[in-house]
Amino acid sequence: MIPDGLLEKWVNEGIISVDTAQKMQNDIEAFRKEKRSSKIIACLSTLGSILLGIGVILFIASNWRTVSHTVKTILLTICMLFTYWLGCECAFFRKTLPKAGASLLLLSALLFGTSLFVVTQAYHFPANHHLLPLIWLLAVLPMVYLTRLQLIAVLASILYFLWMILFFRSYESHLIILILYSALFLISFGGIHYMIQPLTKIARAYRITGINVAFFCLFMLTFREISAHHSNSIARFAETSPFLTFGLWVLAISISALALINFVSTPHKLIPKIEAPLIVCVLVTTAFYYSSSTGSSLYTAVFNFLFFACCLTILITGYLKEDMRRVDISILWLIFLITARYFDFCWKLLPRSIFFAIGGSVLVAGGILFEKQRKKLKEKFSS
Amino acid sequence: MNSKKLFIALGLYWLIIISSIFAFNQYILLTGTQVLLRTVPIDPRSLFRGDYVALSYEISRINLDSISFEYNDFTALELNEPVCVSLKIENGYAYPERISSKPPQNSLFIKGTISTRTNDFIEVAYGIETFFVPEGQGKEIEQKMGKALDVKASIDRYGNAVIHSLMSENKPVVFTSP
Repeated sequence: MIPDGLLEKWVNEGIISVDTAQKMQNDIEAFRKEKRSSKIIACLSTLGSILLGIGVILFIASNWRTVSHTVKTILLTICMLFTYWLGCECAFFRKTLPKAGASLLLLSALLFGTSLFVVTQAYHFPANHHLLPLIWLLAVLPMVYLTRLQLIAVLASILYFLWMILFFRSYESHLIILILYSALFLISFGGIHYMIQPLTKIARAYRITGINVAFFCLFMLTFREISAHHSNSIARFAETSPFLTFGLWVLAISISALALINFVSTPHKLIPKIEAPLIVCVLVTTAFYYSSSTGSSLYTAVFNFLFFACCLTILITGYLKEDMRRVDISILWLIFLITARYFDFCWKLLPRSIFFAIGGSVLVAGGILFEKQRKKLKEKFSS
Repeated sequence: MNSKKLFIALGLYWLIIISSIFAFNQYILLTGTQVLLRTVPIDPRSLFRGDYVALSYEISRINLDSISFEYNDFTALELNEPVCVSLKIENGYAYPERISSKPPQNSLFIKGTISTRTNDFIEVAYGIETFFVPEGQGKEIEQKMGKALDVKASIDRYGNAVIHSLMSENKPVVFTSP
């Protein structure tokens, strides 16, 4: 996009004529308008698909017995295939309505999950079993690479985490570390996709989801009640479960290998060069936490520092790569960290009224400052 | 293969997944041996699939003094380790007879995984611990807890089990639509 004033400068310097400048200005306006309405269409149709999908899932969950499970399965399967075909026609074969087509494809993937639920409900398959999101994920993954749609990649990422949570849920005290490792795996796995140009959108969807989940897990570990408590349970459990220790090692080695591939294979790219050591750093810290648990506040302090370093890294890479999404994510998690620590340290120190007054003022002032900075960055990135 | 064919292949792949789950379970129901299992239910809720009754069977908790087994040391068994439980049938009800790591020859058995173990007993999950009921009707099952509540299940020759119906006083429990 051409920044304001540049066209006028070019006209004054005689590089372009007044008519050309006017034409360029009109075209830029038309392009901006088209982009805005295109975003609205995508938002509306995606929201519609998600709501429709949730509606069908809730209908299935009510286990309405008037219609038999077989009839429900057949009806849902027909709906799923019809929606899928319609989505393919709109987005890929005729290419007449690409945005609506993408939403219909998302809806068909949601309807696949619903069909899966209704069949497993009919045969009383164990509730909350990890196989269900895994089967759904295995069905959605080919669709991710065939359509290369970000929406479907986000759905696949959510299913991946759902599968991981249900798979590891019996190892309750390890869940945060295991999900953190799963998130690091998704971030590194997403990075591999940048090697193939057509898969960059998928890479971004995987990585953004992975970064947010990793931030959530690290954020939880910044609380003493969680990191110190888990520290004790992990020490006890590690002795009795060699299977889990082996699983963690396999995950850690896979993440390191993928991070190394990202680091080596993209010699001129900045983000893998900064991110790969950070990922290894998180891995090493959590490995120490896992193997030499103390139950003291040491790891709480370490995780606070690590969380802050991660926020700062994402912020700096976002700034250097002019990526507004990265800047937004890092600022959001930084605000969470500051707010949580403010509550931790000042709740008992100050009288409640002063606590809320100061906290509120700091947040409002911080909000204004962040908003100003964000606006400046956004203008800079879009110019 | 052009992209249109790939899209059609993906649609077929989805259809195969749904139909194979359907066919696998239907095969067990049609060809498996039907047994009755005594239960103890509670009433939680699944995130996606609605209300269900969580079932625990008499054969889920196995007293190691009353059964033969091939293991020397049960405490060495890992949680989630697969086991095969041979069953004997008396008056239609199934009772555990023997525990082994491999499927027994020429006898009815059910596959499961160890969920709890101590020196005296083990608890085995067979994948039939969930019975989905219409929304809000799990409470009715709870009220029947004092009376005999059984599950009629089909077990195929590979040890896979599927719930056929929930039985109260020898009659199938009938649910009304919400």
